[in-house]
Amino acid sequence: MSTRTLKRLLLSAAVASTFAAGSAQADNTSVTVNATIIGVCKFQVTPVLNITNTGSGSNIDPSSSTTAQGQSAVTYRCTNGQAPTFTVPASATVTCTTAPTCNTSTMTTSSLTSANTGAGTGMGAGKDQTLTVTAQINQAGFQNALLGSYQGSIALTVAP
Amino acid sequence: MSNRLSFSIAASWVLVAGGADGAETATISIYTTVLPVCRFAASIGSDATRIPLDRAQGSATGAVTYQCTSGVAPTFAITASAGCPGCGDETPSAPVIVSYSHAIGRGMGSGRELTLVVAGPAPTESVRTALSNVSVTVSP
Repeated sequence: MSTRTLKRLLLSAAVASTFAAGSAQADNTSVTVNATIIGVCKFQVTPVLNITNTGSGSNIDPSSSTTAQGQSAVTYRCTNGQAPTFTVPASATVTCTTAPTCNTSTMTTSSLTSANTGAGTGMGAGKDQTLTVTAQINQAGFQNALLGSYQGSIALTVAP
Repeated sequence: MSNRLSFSIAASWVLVAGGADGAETATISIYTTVLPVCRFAASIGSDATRIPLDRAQGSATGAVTYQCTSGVAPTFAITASAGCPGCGDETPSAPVIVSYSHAIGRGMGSGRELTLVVAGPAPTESVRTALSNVSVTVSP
């Protein structure tokens, strides 16, 4: 192969290489990103509920005709815009915890209601909403109750 | 796949589905205490009353009904009885509690009343006149 022929071959290769480099330039494509904020609700704090008709602690004066009542302000958070669905039982029962005085006697609430402040505004700090649970024991429910302390519980659920 | 394995897989799926429904549970504890109280039935809500006396020959007696929290024993005290300025040496002895059903309270509802009886000597007409009533308290 002559020198001239070799130069022509090298030049051809260089030109071809240049076109090849052009074909490796930036290309464009799109990646689809999906995310869904799901609706969730979570309880934050569930304070105790003291039932009283004396305005003091959890005391019931059985000689009073005033209905005994207590409230618990349960806080919750939900996804922003998500309305919660609560399940609250229709009644609750408290059972004697001071066996020497009231043995195993019980009292049942005459009313158990709830109200809430509505849809969530997010799960971050300061976004608490409130579910207020109100329990009552009317005069007929406590006037003949045995002396002593009573305790019970209310199971709540929130969805989603 | 055996039937047993198929059943296990199906059961697992049900459990996961049940736990993933988003519902959350919380429990509120409820507390209340029934206080020990006794009250005279004739004066609702009061722990003091005045018992009118029946002044028969030789004595003066009276009765009043009361109620206590179920399980609570009452304690009574006579706080005053009418004086007898003109009775001289015949100043009557204070009435005493004769009985109070010797019972523990049965509650504050209707039909749960107990009876307190008081009596005092009233040997003369002047004493009987003076002993028109007696004041009593009950606790707790």
